[in-house]
Amino acid sequence: MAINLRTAAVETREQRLGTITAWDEGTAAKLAEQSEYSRGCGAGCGVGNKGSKLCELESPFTQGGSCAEQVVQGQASGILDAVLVQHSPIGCAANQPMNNTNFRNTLARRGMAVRNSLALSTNLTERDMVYGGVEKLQETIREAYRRHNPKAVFIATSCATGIIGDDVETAAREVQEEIGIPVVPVFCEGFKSKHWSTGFDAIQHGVLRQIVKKNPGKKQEDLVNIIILSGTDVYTPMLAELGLRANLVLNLATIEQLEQMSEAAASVSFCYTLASYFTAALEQEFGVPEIKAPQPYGFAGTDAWLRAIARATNREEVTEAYIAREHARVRPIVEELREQLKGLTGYVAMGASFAHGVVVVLRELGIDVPGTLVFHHDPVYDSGAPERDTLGHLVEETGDVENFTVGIRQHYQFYNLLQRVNPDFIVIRHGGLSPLASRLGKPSLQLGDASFPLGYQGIINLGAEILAVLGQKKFHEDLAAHSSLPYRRSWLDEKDPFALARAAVA
Amino acid sequence: MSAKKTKQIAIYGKGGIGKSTTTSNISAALADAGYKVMQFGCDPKADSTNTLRGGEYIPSVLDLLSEKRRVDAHEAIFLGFGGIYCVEAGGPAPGVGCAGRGIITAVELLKQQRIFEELDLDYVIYDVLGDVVCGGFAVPIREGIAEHVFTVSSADFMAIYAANNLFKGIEKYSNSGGALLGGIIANSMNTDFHREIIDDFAARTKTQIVQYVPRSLTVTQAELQGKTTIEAAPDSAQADVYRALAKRIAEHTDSKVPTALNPKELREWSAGWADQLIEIERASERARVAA
Amino acid sequence: MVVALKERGDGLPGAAEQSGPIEQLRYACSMGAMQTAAAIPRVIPITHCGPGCSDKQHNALTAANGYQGGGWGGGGVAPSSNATQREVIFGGTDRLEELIEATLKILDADLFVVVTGCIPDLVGDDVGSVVRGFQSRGAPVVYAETGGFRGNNFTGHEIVARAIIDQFVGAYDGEREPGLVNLWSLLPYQNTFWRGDLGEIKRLLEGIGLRVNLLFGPDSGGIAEWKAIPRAQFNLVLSPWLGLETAAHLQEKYGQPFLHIPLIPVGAKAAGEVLREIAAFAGVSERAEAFIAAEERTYYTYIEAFSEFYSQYRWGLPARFAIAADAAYALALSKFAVRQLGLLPARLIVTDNPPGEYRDAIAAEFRALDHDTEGTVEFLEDSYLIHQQIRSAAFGHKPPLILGSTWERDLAKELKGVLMEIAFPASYEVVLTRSNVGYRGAITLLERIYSTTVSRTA
Repeated sequence: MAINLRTAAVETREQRLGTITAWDEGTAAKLAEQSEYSRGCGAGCGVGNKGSKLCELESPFTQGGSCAEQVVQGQASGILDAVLVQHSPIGCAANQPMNNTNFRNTLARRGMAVRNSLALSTNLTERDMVYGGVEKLQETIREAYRRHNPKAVFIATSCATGIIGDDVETAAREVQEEIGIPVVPVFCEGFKSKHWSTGFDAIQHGVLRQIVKKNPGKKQEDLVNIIILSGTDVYTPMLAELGLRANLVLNLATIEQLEQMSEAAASVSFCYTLASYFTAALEQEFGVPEIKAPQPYGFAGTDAWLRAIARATNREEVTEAYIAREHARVRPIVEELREQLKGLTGYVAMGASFAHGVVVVLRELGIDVPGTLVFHHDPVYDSGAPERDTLGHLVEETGDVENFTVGIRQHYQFYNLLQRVNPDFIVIRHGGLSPLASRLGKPSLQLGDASFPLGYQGIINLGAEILAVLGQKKFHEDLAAHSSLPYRRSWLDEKDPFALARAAVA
Repeated sequence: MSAKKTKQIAIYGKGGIGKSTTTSNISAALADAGYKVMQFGCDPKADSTNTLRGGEYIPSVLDLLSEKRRVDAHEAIFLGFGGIYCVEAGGPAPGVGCAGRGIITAVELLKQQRIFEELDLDYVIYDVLGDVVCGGFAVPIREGIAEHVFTVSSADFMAIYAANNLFKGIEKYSNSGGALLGGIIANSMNTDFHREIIDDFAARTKTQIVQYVPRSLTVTQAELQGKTTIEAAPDSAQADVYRALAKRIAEHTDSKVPTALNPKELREWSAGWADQLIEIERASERARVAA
Repeated sequence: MVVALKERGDGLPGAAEQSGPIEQLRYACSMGAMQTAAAIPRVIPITHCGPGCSDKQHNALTAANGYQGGGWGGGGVAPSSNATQREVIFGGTDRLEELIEATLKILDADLFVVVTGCIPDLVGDDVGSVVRGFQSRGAPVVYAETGGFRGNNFTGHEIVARAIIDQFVGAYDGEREPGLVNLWSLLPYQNTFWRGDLGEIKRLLEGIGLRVNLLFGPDSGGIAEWKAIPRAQFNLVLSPWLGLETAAHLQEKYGQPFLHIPLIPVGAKAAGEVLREIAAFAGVSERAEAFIAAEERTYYTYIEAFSEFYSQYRWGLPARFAIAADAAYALALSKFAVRQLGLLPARLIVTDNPPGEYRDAIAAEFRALDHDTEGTVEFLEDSYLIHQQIRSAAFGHKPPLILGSTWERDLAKELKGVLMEIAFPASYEVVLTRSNVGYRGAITLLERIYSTTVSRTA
């Protein structure tokens, strides 16, 4: 089904893509086969068909996850000249300190002046739950405008305002007319979607509806939208080699950068979980082509990704030269790393498409990857382009992953999962699971910088980082000998991380 | 996709006032006249469309939502009399959960899946439980959903209170592009006195009576068969009343902002009528005794 | 005529009842009290809320705040119902029941504390009836209704404490043990230094001859201490307001007296005064004097050494300070700064939104910073306003000392000042046992203030 920008609230991922958060039936190939791509169906099957072969497990025991609002908060407060208003009781804003840490460190990493991120909470109380919070919302938007003179204000809704039914859309429009800058409501009530990645879609939906220029006057033939997360800017130099300019969004972007997304020659990303909605909608609504290629991980993936960009922007010749140069530079170093990393086993645990990419890089380095945990699974991405089948690409290029699991970042399951494969180290991106690995004596490589493993240089980066992380083993082994886990013996002896879920349906 | 604009109408009324009966008869009359109609029940009881489907209950949008991780709105749409698309929002059992949120969710789901456009509808009629108790129940009158609101009311004071509450809701949303009031559908109008009360209320709140609908045995008989009057007794006088009502609603274009009475005004107004009522009863008592 | 049982007040709501927008928050919501439960050894919170609520509260409190770690059973371990549309529309009690059932199968703890978020509190889940079902089976589970709109984690803390007392500790009509004291002081996890501080306070109380139910942290004996609460001779509320509600409840429930001392002692002067007051109340004065004397000997030996730096340092020491912290730390550190470091207050801001009825008393404490120094406290929670106030304070010609949080990093640069992160969120600090209170903590605090000062231009 096509993307629908007419409603203020985005359709959730489970509705659009058939996203699941729990699956444990064996190999990566099996999951790929059960997903939409392998059936050659592409988009347009209509709701109710997509992902219908996937059987989702539901466990009675769950630990805290994350929510769409949390994602929106990170994304919106990272837009440099905008301010985020969190329309919620104070607890939703409790993520601000963590968010600010990410923001400040990313600014430093990108060589920009370090400062605090900007977000205001409407700080709703019991009274507002009963009488509604719209007035407070409008006052807070005005206050945000007075204080910071932003180019746009984003509003993140919350479970509480969703339940009491505040008319946020109207409230936003009224203040927008008054202050004359876009006031963008982003509907991201945590309870609405089981997976936090709906938050990416929600903020992108808002940006597409209210910020991106509807009728771009001119096309910028050398501008490429790159949908990123916080990380080093590896793109600008890479694209400069091809004579292109990178429009990095949303992280640390300006409103002007977001406006001109419709003028770009193409849109691309390193992570299709993140960019699925944005790139498909930009193509559908603004005619900006989505780059249809595997993600840029490992030699083959990066080659294909760059070539697809080259085709879309008519830069084949320079691109081929760049690819050849990079291969010549990187291959010998990778050979050396393969030698040093020989015999190691790694385990990957992170967001779906990013994990698909990182497994490819690990295998490029000769590391055995017998197991992977992804925090959700999209059977298809919004555009439905088969070239973007990241899981299929992983299996085809580097072989199957024997123990492939979809699970929504559950601490208790991670124990059983690690018992299955007993890796030397773990590559991870989200918080929460590494401490458990640590208590089992396993070091974790934290991919805090999302740009770290991508492209040709990414293979080198990851290899070098693994060598560094293995050194931490002593710390973790010492800890393992002196700590306990809060789980019952019966659970620690359990081989099946989904035993409870399976028992519930049996 | 056709260029025609679907006309969306919300009909509110206090529980038990005959709101679903009236709505279903309007839908049936419109369908009879050749329009493509959807009736969307917004009441946790999920029985708005029963008489359009032979008295049969249909699974609600929220029933589906509670069973499945992903809902195809088509699965909650059922064909009723005259090709009317019947949808029930549904909701929780009494005393648990949040019925208001349920309505928001159900309406949003159909909008996101562009059902109204896809079915190329002429009319969507929301049948809404009508005290406007929280944000959720006001969803159909917010901007972008219904344009016109009608309220079903009898001359009973509790029904009028509910109508007055609805008017407050409309006043609130009217500044922000929400629905406006088409008028009052005066139900169970059997005496002149009933008419006088409801006429007076309409005058006080600066609105109009769209139609007087008398209480009728025909309606009860039709309902017992699980049918609307339009279907069960198309040639009855009551069916003519509903057809006239449907026609007026179909032709209706200009809705207004009502002037809801404040609590004091409402109290004084009802007290005034109560005095008259007592006076009339006394008079008839005296007449009986004299006779 | 209608007569109300109580006449309606006609005054405007006080500052404490108003709630404006908050930028750069300085506490979590009521459900942040999940970490109050997690602060008790072998106790695990069960969060009944939306999918991100637990993550946000514990990340804020335990990661972005000194990287303390979530604890054995808190943080990512805590079970969560992760409520969806279904639980919102149809109610979430079935889901909660299922979750508790599964939790008892998987996790091994001495006590589980169900805390609720906005969702169940709004849709009206009858959490009590679910939990009572488990209690009647003898399962160690209690519940606390902590929906985020009810207040902050300070409020939530007292709700959780009361839930454990009423539903787990229960009735008691036995003897009380002289010399046993229940301590109600800093808010665990919210205060970045709570573990070290509670440890030092315990050391001081034991030093004067008392035994302590510390209740929270690595130095606490866990639920055995909670079970022993009714046996204590008295409750000690060592904070300006937090804990008073709990102490009043215990007084009512068990007839147990309480001693309220608003000042958490930092430095020898305050420690001596506070310990003497406690000792007098508990009847252990003699032993206290010996302990105080011994502590002071050590303390002043260090201060003497420090004086060579303090009196001779040539490149500028701060003369005035601003503080923005919760009432407990704001008061404790301000008094130390004024009375023992010879600093003057430029701006005093309390950020934890104390209930209105306590504010006058708190303000009075600040007015009496020292016999010759009067302070004016302001109650603010919005960092934008806090920064405006600090910016407009008079710091003289010396570099301002700002005792605050990470939110003041940019401000400190702007004012060319010295920032010490002593309040939530302290995201540029890694804190384990470090303490700022008592005798030893005061020395550490002093070391940190002046290390930061001398390295400012490094």
